[in-house]
This record gives sequence, C-alpha cells and structure tokens, in this order.
Amino acid sequence: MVDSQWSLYSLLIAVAGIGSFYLWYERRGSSPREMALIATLAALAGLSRLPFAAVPGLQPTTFLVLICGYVFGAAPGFLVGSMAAFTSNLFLGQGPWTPWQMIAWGLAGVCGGLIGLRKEKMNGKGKEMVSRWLLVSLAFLWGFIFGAILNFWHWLTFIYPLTLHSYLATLLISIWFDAVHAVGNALFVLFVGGELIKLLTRFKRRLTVSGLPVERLNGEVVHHEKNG
Amino acid sequence: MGLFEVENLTYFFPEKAEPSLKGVNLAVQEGEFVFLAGQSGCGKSSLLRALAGLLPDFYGGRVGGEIRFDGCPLAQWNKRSLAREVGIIFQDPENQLVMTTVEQEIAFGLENLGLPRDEMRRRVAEVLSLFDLSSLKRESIFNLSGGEKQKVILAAVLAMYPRVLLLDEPTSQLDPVAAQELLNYIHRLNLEWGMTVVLVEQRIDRCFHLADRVVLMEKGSIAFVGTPGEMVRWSGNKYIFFLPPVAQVFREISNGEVPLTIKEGRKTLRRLLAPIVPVETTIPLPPPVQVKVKDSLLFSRSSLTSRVNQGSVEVPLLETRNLGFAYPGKELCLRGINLQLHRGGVTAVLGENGAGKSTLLKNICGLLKPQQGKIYQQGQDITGYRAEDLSSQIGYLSQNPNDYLFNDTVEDEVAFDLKIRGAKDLSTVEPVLELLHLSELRSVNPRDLSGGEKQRVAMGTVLVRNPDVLLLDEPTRGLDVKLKHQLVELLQQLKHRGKSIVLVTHDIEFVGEVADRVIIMSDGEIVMDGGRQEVLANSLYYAPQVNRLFRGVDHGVMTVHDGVERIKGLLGKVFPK
Amino acid sequence: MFIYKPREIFLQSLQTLSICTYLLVIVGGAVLLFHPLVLLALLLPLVLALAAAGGLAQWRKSLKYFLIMIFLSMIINITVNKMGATVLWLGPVLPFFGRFIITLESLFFGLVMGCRLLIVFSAFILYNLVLNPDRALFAFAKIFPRSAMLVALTAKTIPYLGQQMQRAAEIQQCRGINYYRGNLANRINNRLPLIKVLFLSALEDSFNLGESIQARAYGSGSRSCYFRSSPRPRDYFVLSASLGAALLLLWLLLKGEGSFQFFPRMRVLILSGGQVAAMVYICLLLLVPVLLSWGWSKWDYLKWKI
Repeated sequence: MVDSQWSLYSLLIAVAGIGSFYLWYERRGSSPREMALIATLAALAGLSRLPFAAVPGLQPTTFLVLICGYVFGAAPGFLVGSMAAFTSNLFLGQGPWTPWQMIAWGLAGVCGGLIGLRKEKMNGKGKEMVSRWLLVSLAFLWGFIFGAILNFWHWLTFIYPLTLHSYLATLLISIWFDAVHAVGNALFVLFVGGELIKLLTRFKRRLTVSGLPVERLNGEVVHHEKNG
Repeated sequence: MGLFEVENLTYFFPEKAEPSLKGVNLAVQEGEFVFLAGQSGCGKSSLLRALAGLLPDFYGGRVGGEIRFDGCPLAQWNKRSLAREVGIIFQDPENQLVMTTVEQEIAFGLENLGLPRDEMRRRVAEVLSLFDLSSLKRESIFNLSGGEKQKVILAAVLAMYPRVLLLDEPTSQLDPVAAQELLNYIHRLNLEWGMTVVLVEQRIDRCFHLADRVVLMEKGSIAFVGTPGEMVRWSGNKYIFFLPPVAQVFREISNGEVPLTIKEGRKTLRRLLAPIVPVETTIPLPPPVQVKVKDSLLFSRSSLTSRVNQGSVEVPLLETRNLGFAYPGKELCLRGINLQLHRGGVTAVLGENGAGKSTLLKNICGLLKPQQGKIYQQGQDITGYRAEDLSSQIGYLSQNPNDYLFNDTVEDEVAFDLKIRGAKDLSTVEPVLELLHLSELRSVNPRDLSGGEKQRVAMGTVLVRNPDVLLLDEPTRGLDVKLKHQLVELLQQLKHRGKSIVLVTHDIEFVGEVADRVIIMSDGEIVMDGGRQEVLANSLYYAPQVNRLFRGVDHGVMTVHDGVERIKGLLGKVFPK
Repeated sequence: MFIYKPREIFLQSLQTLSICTYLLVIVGGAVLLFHPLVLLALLLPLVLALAAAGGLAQWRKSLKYFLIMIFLSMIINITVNKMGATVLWLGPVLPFFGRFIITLESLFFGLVMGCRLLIVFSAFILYNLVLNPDRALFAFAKIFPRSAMLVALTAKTIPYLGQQMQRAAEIQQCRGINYYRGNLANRINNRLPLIKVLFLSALEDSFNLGESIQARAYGSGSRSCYFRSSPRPRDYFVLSASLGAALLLLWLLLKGEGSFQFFPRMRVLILSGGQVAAMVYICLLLLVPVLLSWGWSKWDYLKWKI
C-alpha cells in the first residue's frame, strides 16, 4: 500500500539522465587537452568539498561549478559538476546521494552555461553588470535548489505520505545548511567570481588558439627583426 | 641518413611575435646520445617537443621547415606509430602520471596502443624488473617518492618499446641521489640497448661526459654541435658555464685533451704537478673529522663564551634553543636543535631527504609550532608566533615560485606584500625590482616569465618586507648554471646588507660558492656545524667536485675559480716566467 | 573517511558484478518491499557482512551521524502523517502543518522507515569498504571508456591538488595573509589569492598533463584493456544466491505479501506460511557471502578451491 515505486522510478530516471549525457559525451569525443582541463576543473571543484580548515561549513563547489559552466559552456559545466560529485565521493564515501549530487552540480554547471550564453547574446554597456548580478542571485538560489534536489529522493523513499507538506517539512531539516550554502555562494561570486572568470577566460583562450589549424610559413626562412 | 632530420625548422607559438625556434638544422643518428644544452628559454624544450610531434600538433601555432623521422616527414606519420616509436619524458612527474597504481600507469600507454593483453602483461613484467619496480607493482602512485615516480614514467614509456627517448630535464624536480639513479638508467639504455637518446638537462656535470654529441642552443637557434671535447675547445669564455667544473678548471691550462670527469682530471693533475707535489693515486679518505658539534648544546655555549670574551656581547638575530618538533601522531623529527644566526652570513643546511631540513625552516618561520624548546628573535621569545605575524621579520622562500604568483603584473605581485599590511607607501618596491633586475619586466604577467625570473619575483615578494632573516628552501632547483651564478651574486649582496641567510639545499657546488657556514643534519639532529672549508673539505659525500679534484693537493679549493688560481700558482713555481 | 583500503578480505576478492548485484538486491528489496520482517531479513545478513568485512567499527562510527538523519525523518513521518487511527497524543495546532497528532501507527511506521534508511546507509558503507574503485572503473570502462578515463584523471588529481593547496596556503600565510581574521566576507576575500594561485597552477599543469597523455598515444585509436579478472567459483556462488534472493523478493512483491498495512490500523504481521518461508530463505541466501567469507578465513582448502 505504501507507494514505494516512486523512489525506484526517480532513481532510474536520474541514472538514465546521467547515463545518456555521458553516452553523448562518449560519442562527441574530446582531445586530450580538453580532457585534462575538465579533469583538473572537476578535481578543483571536488577538492573544495573536502573540509576547509579556515572557513568551517563553507563549500565553494557549487560556486566553482557555476563559474566553470559560465566560462566554458553548459556541457563542460555539467561534466565538471557531475565529475566533481562522483570523484570526491571516492574520498568521502559513495551513497544514495551520489546520483543526486551529480545531477544537482551538473545542472548548476548547465545553469552557469546558460547565463554565459545569454551574456554573449546581450550587447551594450550593462552586460557585464547584468550577468554579474544574475550570477550572484543564481548562486544564492542554487544553495536552496541544491538542497531541494538532494532531499527529493530522501522524501520519495523515506517519507509518507508524499504531499507538499511533507516535502516542505523535509526541506526544513536542512534549511539552515542550505541558507549557509546560499549565502556562501553569493559571497564567493561577489568576492572571487570576477577574478576567477577573468582567469578562466584567459585559459579558455589559450585552449582555443592551440586548437586552431597550424599555419605553414611557406617553407621560407623567417627573417625576424627585433625592433622592426 | 639520420634517424631524425630537422631541416630549417622555425616555430611560433600561437599569438607570439617571437619565434621559439629559428631555422634549426640538426640530424640525430640512430643509437646516438645527444646532450641538448642551453639557457632556460633558449628553445631546447620546444625542439624536443617538435621532435616528438607535439609541436605543432598539441600547441598549434605557425611552423616552417620540416622534421623527418626515419625518412618520412613527421606530419605524415600516423599518430599511434609515432607515439610508439618516439617516447618523451617531461620535467614534473606529477603532470605525467595518469593512473593510481604503478602497474596501471605502466599499462596505460600499452592500452592506448591497443596491444593484446598477453603482450601487455609480458611488457609490464619486463620493465618492472628492468627498473627494479616489481615490489612497488601494486603500490599507489601517491605513496611514491619523486624519484620513484619519474622512474615509473621512464618504465611506462619504455614499455612502449620506443626507438628514441626524448627527455626534457627529467631530474629537475629530484634530489641528487634520485637524479643520478635516473641518469644511470638512461645511460645504460643507450649503452646496452643502443637506444637513441636526446637529453635536455641542467646537471651538466652529470651528463656532459655521457654524450656522443653536445648541441648548444641559444635564442631559438643552434649555436654549436659537436663532441664534448670539441665543445670544450670551442666554448671560449662566453659559454664556459656549459662545461662541467673539471673541464672549466683545466680548459685554461691544458692545450691538449681536456678531462671531463674527476677521474681523468686527477690523472691530468698528477701529470701536471708530478714535478712539484705528490698527488695520491686514489681519492684518500678524508682526515679524521674533529666532531665539534656532536653535543650541539656545548658548541653553542662555547661559541657564546668566545663572543663574550671578545667583548662584543652581540644578541643573535635569531636563536633556537633545544628545539624539538613532531608531526601529529609521529615521533620527534627534530631534536635538540641549537642554532644561532648573526647578521651578514650565509648558512647552508645540508642533509639527506627526511633529515628535517625543511621542517627546521618551517619551525623558524612559524608555519609549524615546535613542541619543545624556544625560538628567540633578537632576544625576544617568538616561540609559537604565527607565520603571518613573523612575516615582516623572517622571510621564507619556498622551492616552488608558482605558489606565490597570482597578480597581473610583476610590480603588483611585489607590492602585494606591502598592501596586505595596509602600507600606503609603496616606494620600497622600486629598489627591490632594481636589485633583482626586474625593472624591465615590471608590467609583465609573472606567470608568463621563465623559471628563473619567477623565482626572482618570489624573492622580491620576500625582500620587499625587508626581513632580517631569509630562509630559502632549495633555491637552485630547476635553475640553469647562469641563473645559479646570478643567485650567488644576489645572496652575496644581501649578505653585505646585513641579512642573515639560511639555505636548505642538495646543491653542494652552490654551497661551495656561496656559504660561509655549513650545517649538516641527519635524522632530525645537527651533526656538524662549522665553517665552509672545515665541513666540506672534510667530507666524503658533501665535497664539491673541484674539492674532490684537488684532494691530496689542497683541501681548501672549493670553486672553479679557486682551482684555476691554485693550479696557476703551482705551475708558476715550476715554470717561473 | 571512506577511502577504500585493500586488505586481505574475502569480500574484496569478489568481482565488481557480484558485489554490486548483492548490494543492489539488498537496497532494492529495502526500497521496494515494506514489511518489517523482510527488512529484518535484509538487515541481519548485511550487518554480518559488515562484520565479515571488518567494518563494524566504521559502521558504528557513521551510525552516530546516520541516526540523527534517521531520527529526523522519523519526526517528519510522525508529524505529517495523520492517517493512523490509534491516537496517542493530540498536540497543538501548528501554523502550516495543522494539528500535531501522534498515533501508534505513525510511530511504528516511523520506526520501520528508520530501519529502511539504516539498511540503505549500511549497504553503502559496505560498498565503500569492499568495492575496489579502480576495478569498478575498469568494468565501467567497457561501455564508457572516455568517461572512465576522465574519472581516473580527476581522482588522481584531487589528492595532488590537495597537497598543492596546502603548500600555497602556507606561502600566502608567510606573506602575511590571515585566513582567520575578520567576518565571513573578509575571510572569503582573504582566500582569493590562494584560489587564484591554485587555479593558475592547476590549469597550467592540466596543459602539461594533456600533452603527456597525448605523447603516450592516448586518443590515437581504440584502446585495449590490461585488467581483466575472470569470475571464480565464489562469484558464481554469490551471484546465484543474490539472484535467488531477488526472485524470492519479487515473488513476495507480486503476491502482495511484501508489504505491511499500517493505516488506518496495523494488520497482522504474517499472512501465510509461504511468506515466512520466503523471508527465511531470503535471509539465508543473503548470508551466503558471509558464510563463504567465514569459511575462507578458516580453511585454506576453501581459499584455494573457491
């Protein structure tokens, strides 16, 4: 009589979603250069989950994933976010939360990617400012969205009856952590975001130019004048 | 026909106006050992990467001329076959390791080649035995030492059965013992398997004599190609730094064949000096050392009293008394350290890995908190102070300059250390930039600089705080000979300004050049503390090359300069003019 | 921390597939079937398997943390569930949730839910203890070669970057940055240099890493696989036992005897003799790895034979 099937269905959908994204990634292919970059970004985001000595209770992971998506695009954003969740759990422990974390952080990356796309379409003076504040508010929101996603399966599986009331009650349990998460995210974007975006954009450029087709110098000897 | 034929190769990195390689012509024969030398930034790494097909394949950019491997242009080579035939090894093992265990790491390249499983198993077993890694087969990469890591990478590349081995400063991150082991393996591969080797390396004294040919590069072009002997005769004063110290000593005196190793050097010395002084035929054991500091407490007292007797009751700039430290859950790794530092001195700390040298520095600068003993700065107890609070008085420079640099320009980077203290007056930045020859690079992004320049910027961030005590951890790691010389000059200048400099290093030649006082640590204790001459000349292991050359003739010779003067002096007696 | 450590344990010598099937049957059973006795039949072998894996100490340690979560979800269940008939306490009216009622049924329901949660968490503790992530990755690499490579690269980079971060943090500290001073905003701001240094170095390194894997022929065509471990008798034992248990669970589910009615009033616990027998068999089948593990450590003969 207790309708437990929802729990199974939701898990299947989550796993299938992640699986199909990765199947797409397998088919699309990527250069060793891109792979090393994604792995490094995911490692940085994953590392930031491990306890920070200086600021207890703060995790910059969501913020980092959001920024990576913003600079490199939605697909790399999803890759970085989901990879960070999975690999950091190799050190922190896998659990029923793993697929949900993969999805939550993956989607945070996608979300960053969409803002990045929007920014490119915008023109005019205010675009830096608009996208900046969009990022700050989204980072704040993601603190709560993250909590909502992670509590979802818990609610489906371990709470009865499945009503809005019971869902909100489930969310209430982690509301304090989600609030710290949200405020932390917003502060990270405010104080660190701008610099980090600049830095990542520089690297994206380096990646792009090295991927361009090689130019030939027509076999001529190059005469190079220092002050010419 | 050479195995590699480089014809008029020119290469620009993407968006760079200056070429990294300018009209390079070179042929490498099968089975040859080529030593590729040059200052940092001269294009030797680029040439090596070009030979491996990574330039322009991995980096993009603009390219002119051609490289042929085995008669066929590199661009036409199938990627997989080329990667199988040409193996390349880079500087930092951390950036080359991919998997989590030794066995997987070695198999990685073989899997990439798509080899059948039985073949892979055979090759993995083979290289594990060849490099004596069998006991580490299932070990996690993370638990290996730097030397072992680099050995694993050499094994992994060799398992692909390459015809050519290209090595880009493979020992630059290693201590001398691990570096020598790796070079021995490379030499053996060339000698016993006839493997073609192209080696870029800063440890000239270790590989100059191994090479069949030396290639010297300068500003993207090839300045010289020839045998080591020809190189010695060709070098002139401009390129003398690219010779091993033994050759530097004899180059000026001998007009025949110049010795390249200590063994040949001593032979030549014997021949030259036979008429005047007897040179013992083998390296004699050093005369018994009068252990001055076995009881180090005693030593510091006696030195204190001697100072008092002289009438100058100078309070030491920095003093540790009976310092002891242990990492959490471990035994003490520093024990009873008594150390006094005075103004205007360079103290070198030597000792094997794990002797506690770096731990000592970190205790002094406040990064670690000692469990025993006290630290005094000009008489004031600073034990337990945090590093950020001591940073104005004690400057600590780590071995990796990349850990410092994040500002957009060199000037900002150096000024950051003042701004963080809330200083409004940034006028001290300028003299520091000048002292470090960084004035022209002030608006360059420090991340775009070469290794030596980065280190000077890191040094600038320390000097701008004007600390009295400078602690340098492995300051010569990765530096080429010329940069080392500049560092010697800089440290001399700082010494004359009254700084007290402590350097932890494995580089004995460098210690011979720069230190006034040498401390040897072992197993967390100071086992020897004394003047440079006294400690180094009495040592079997910690003696500079030139000192070993002159053992039995003159124990006081430490540097090439000393050596040349000494020989001239001795010969002058024989042939007075 | 849950990091997998290779030890001389029977359960670690099993194939990825066998271990995963075993745990999947337990977790699946706990999630799909909702009968107190079925849950007990799943929990008992699981705890014994944890003991066989030498993980009881670890289990007890994490239990403290999980008990809070279990307790909290019990509270929610009791609070939001108003379907029970036997009212124990009629509480005050809460602003959003209506009247606070505790019923005997919801109390019992909460307890059983807690037990279910315990099974899921314990199963994952066992997973982390016995499943070699490298071997799991090789199994995964057959379908997702590129993604598996990405996982391997990321996993090996994390500890390395951890060291690097430690080093860079020390250096910035030596330059006079105090991470502990000031309010939250200040502290975050003070981390900027560290974050920038770490990112700059890591990204530069990533370039070299990419170069190195390309130089070692990665991406030059299809890869072969070095690691292949073939199943041994022990794997067949564990696999068939797990599948047998799964079939029995399915049978219970289809027969409608896998669940238990709590609301509005609790019904009888045992419906038929077949139900009891199925539960006992499920428990016994799931004990197979535990028994094998025990025998494996007792008799060398068994060690070689299976």
